[in-house]
Amino acid sequence: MSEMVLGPFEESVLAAVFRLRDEAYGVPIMRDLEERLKRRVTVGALYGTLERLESKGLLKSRLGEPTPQRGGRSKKFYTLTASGVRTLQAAWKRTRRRWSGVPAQIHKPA
Amino acid sequence: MRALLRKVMSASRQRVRDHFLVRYRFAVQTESKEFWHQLVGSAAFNLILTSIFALVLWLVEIALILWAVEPTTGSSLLVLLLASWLGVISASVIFIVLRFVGRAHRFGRCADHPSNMPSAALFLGYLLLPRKNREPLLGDLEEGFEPSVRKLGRRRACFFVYWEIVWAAVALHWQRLLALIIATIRLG
Repeated sequence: MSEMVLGPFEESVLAAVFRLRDEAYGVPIMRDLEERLKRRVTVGALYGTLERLESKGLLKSRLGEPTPQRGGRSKKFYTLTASGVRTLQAAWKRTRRRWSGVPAQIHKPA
Repeated sequence: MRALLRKVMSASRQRVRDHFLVRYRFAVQTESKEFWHQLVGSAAFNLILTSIFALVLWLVEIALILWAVEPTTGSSLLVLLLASWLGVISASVIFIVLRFVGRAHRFGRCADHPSNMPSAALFLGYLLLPRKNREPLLGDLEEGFEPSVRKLGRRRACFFVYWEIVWAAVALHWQRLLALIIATIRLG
């Protein structure tokens, strides 16, 4: 099976869903991404990416119970599929291969 | 193009029917007194506002016609006045309907859990966002609204909510939008 190549933002979203496990819905995913990417993430961009990943079969979603702090609206929880986990592993290996051989001095400020 | 427009119109009608009229009926049943007070207050405020606007527009138009270089006949003056009044009246009707539906949604949906987000933004969200992600997306915005108000102030938080909804609609409908643009260019 050929390896599915994702964009950097798609990879970040997939990794965030993996990290958050049972708590992976819109707001925590957005906070996690903003914290790690150090930039503002819009809801539209996030949901567009989540929908794309779901259509590729890397994520699956389920609706949670409505809560008062969300104005009676339900959360949409995301979990990785087996294919999603494989793609994330492949992305991690690709990143490691790409950075292998680069000396540790790269981390130090010039 | 016509088929596409018809499809868009049909989808919009369906959405309005599904998500607002049902909630409006629910609102009338559950929160009738408060709902009607708010509604009448809002309608009266809108009518006063639009009447002032219409009056100003009318005066400006009269002044423009009086100072115009080209001579105007009595009938064209009447047509201009009628057109401007019709424009203002239709704009006010649209505005009142928007607020009416927005409030209906807010009260109907959140009888137990009042929403703090602007009702017009909720209405916009329900109109523009795809059905599949509408509820969770608006819920996420609602969850982030209060912290945003504390951090930025109500006005800026409201602005961000509108911005997020419009941007989300563009991001989630970009393929359709692109198809519409291409179709328009081809027709042009």
